[in-house]
Amino acid sequence: MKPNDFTWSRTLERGIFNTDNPIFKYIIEHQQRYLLAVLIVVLFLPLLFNSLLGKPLLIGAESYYHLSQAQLAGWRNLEYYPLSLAQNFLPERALALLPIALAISCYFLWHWLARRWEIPASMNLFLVFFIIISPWFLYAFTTLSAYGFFTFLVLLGLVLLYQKRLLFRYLAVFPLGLAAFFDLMSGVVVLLILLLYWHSRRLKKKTKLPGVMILFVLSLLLFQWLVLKKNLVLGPFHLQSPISDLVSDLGGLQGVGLFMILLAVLGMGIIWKKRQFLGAYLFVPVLIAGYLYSTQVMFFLGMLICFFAALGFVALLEDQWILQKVKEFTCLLLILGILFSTLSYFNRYFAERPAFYALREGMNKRGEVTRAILKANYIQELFPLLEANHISLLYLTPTLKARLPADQGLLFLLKNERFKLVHSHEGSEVWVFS
Amino acid sequence: MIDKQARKWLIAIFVVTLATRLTLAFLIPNFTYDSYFHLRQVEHITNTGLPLYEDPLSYGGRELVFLPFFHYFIALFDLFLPLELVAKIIPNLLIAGLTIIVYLLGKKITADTPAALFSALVAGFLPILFFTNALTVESLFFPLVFLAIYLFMNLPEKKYVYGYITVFLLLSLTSSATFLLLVGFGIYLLLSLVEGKKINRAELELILFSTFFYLWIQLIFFKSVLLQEGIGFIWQNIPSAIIAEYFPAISITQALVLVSIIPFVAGIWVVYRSLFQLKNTRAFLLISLVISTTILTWLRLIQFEASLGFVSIILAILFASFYQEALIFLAKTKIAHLHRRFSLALIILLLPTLVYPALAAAWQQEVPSEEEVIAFKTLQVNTPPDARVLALLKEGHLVTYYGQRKNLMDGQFALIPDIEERFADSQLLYTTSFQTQAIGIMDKYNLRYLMITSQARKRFDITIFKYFDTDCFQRIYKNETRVYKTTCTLTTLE
Repeated sequence: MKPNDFTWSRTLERGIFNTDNPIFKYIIEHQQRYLLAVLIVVLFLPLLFNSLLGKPLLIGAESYYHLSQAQLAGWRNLEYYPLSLAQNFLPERALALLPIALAISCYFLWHWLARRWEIPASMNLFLVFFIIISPWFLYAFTTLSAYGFFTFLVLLGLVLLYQKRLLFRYLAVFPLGLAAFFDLMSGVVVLLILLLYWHSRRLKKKTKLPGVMILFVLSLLLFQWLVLKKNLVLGPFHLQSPISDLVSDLGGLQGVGLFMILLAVLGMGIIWKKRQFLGAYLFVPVLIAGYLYSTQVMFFLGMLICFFAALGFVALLEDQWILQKVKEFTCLLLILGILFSTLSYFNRYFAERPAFYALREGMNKRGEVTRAILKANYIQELFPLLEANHISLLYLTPTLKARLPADQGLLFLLKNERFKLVHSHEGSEVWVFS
Repeated sequence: MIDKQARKWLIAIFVVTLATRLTLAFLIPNFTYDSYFHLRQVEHITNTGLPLYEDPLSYGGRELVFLPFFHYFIALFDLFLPLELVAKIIPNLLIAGLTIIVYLLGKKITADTPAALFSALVAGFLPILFFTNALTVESLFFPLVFLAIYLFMNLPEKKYVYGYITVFLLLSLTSSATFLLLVGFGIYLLLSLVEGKKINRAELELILFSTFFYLWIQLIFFKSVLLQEGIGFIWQNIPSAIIAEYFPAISITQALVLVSIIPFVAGIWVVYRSLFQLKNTRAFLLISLVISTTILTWLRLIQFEASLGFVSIILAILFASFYQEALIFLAKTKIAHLHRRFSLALIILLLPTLVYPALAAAWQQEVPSEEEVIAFKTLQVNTPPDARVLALLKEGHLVTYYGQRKNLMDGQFALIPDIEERFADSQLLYTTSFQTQAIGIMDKYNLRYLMITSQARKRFDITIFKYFDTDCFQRIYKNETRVYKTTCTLTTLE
């Protein structure tokens, strides 16, 4: 942007949310660097705070589930080999950087694809912006999430598929195959992506590669289903609630904001009219059905919602309104509403998880309950205490374990199926009571 | 513009409505039970400039969430008039003002002055709106929402655009029930699409703006409620035992009584007829609003009284259409010469069916008696400042407003944990025969004072607490209402 192009009065006159606005044009032109800056800030912020507050850098039950699975990596769970390697070669604190590294890699891979697919710059700006400030994305890329790794593999596979050299194109089979190996849903999503790829290539030139890929992924899918008997969807790693898991403003830690959903509805209508990006409709029934089965599918559904929302927002921006000032204000409200959901997510993320009993409280009723839990000898004593006091996590330090008898009491009762070890490091353990 | 003759009639209707309402408001002592919550908020705003979002008395101390515009609006008048006077005059003035808005809307849809005047008359005496001693948000919400509808129907003229935006901003800060208007807009768009009616571009733009603005305001104010209660925020954490009182099934009989038979039947007839010729009708938006409100009430997503109030005003507006169509029909019959007498006959018919139920509704308002108010006021001298007092659920706000003491429960349920348990315990305190059980509950909530009013006696069919004895309970106030202090405890008091 030339310095003379910009004056506040001209900018305001043209409207802030106007595609002719010089600031807007400048941001679109230099979107890659600004979006990267936003991405780095939003992903490093939780890490920084956790580090400063002395909390574990990796959060979420899913992270610890994958870490424990990676220790058992074998032919039945091929997808855990990369994590298993990382676990062997990296110190534990560095593992927290893995999701961020994945997110940044995904970011560059996506930009390469966006250029290749000639996605309009304004559409790409809002699509990426909406994705990186969405709670589902922030959660997935601040934890060790299977679907975060899945995204990286799929994008890598697609980048390889669009290479000129045939060898590279065939190499795409590895990341895409691995991506399809997480669970049946990931296999279905890879299959749908390949179908769209096949459809787009079929119109241009005849090649057997997409067909081969589809057959490969299909056979992988069948193999997982019939032989490995894998689950349709991984998890769940939290108590599911279809509404709040979808709308983060209703209390879900993941999900998308209410404004994003409204914009997505608008976007869906626009696609129908314009017949552009019609392929996106292919994902709608599959992901909705998957989501109803398990809210873990929110990762994929969130991506689709962000896509439709970006379409809706760009359409609003580019539309000529009779009431121009109302348009300005509406767009501002939308951005504020979307940012509100992100801030609300961070607010909850940084909220203290309350301990049931802390030393400073003195020996009140909770102190007595804590003592009773530690002294319980039978599940008939222990379970009612945990249930009545809504205790779902037990944190056992080596000191505490040394004080408790191993062959009876709490440590013995932890063998019950209702307890699940979700984290173990240097003698400290976290058990989930369900 | 309103012509001179019509203006005179309209002013007469407004003055008669206001005078009737104010007379009743001053004849009936005190305010409806829910009004005391708002009185306390207004008082706090007048004293501090801020609403009482951290209430130290309600439920023994809790966070409150509500939209504050109504309270600021009333507080504005409280600056130069006594609060209890403001609380009687302003809500009645606002509801009486509805007659003017209804006239404008009636005129808009029929372009017929007498028809619009009839609408105004009906709106002035709707029984559902004749709660003259109620200081509630609805008294501002209804005039504002119908003003917004009127301005919306006059789009895209510039002054109406700015007028609509201003009114909508105030509405969004007044009541969450504004979503009735938005859902109505949704139905309006849907019906337009189905009927192939061309939608005014400015209307569409303002609907989009309104939706996003409304949602944004709700997210800001009710964030904590949404996060804590999820989708349950619709039902406001109301205990299941009494939710049917707030969200009852649609009752036609009750609707007939509260809206009054003639406007109800006439309005429903107009809606029914118009449904088959939507493209031509000028009341297209109003009919969409009736449909949306009926659906929301049927799904129990909105409180019955609020929805009935809203629908009744629309039916009053649609009465203008009924009057106009009736006259046209009459002109085609052999008794066309009686057409002048039709208006007179209608007035004669409306007066007993409308005015009488309205006056009856006003007289039947649930308000505390003077004696009860004195009893609540004496809590300030008879109990220590940190005392917690048991009273009926609906009397909870009296404990905090007059007594300035902590209550066990009141009608603001949002964000209260274990509300079911608390409600059951409060009921048990009135019904149990076992002293240990009652004292156990009192210990649980650190409750030392119990009130029994004539309302409580009637509600639970008791004369005194069944577990009462002089060993554990000491009477500290005796009249029709009694206040007891408990001297026993099952555990050591902290």
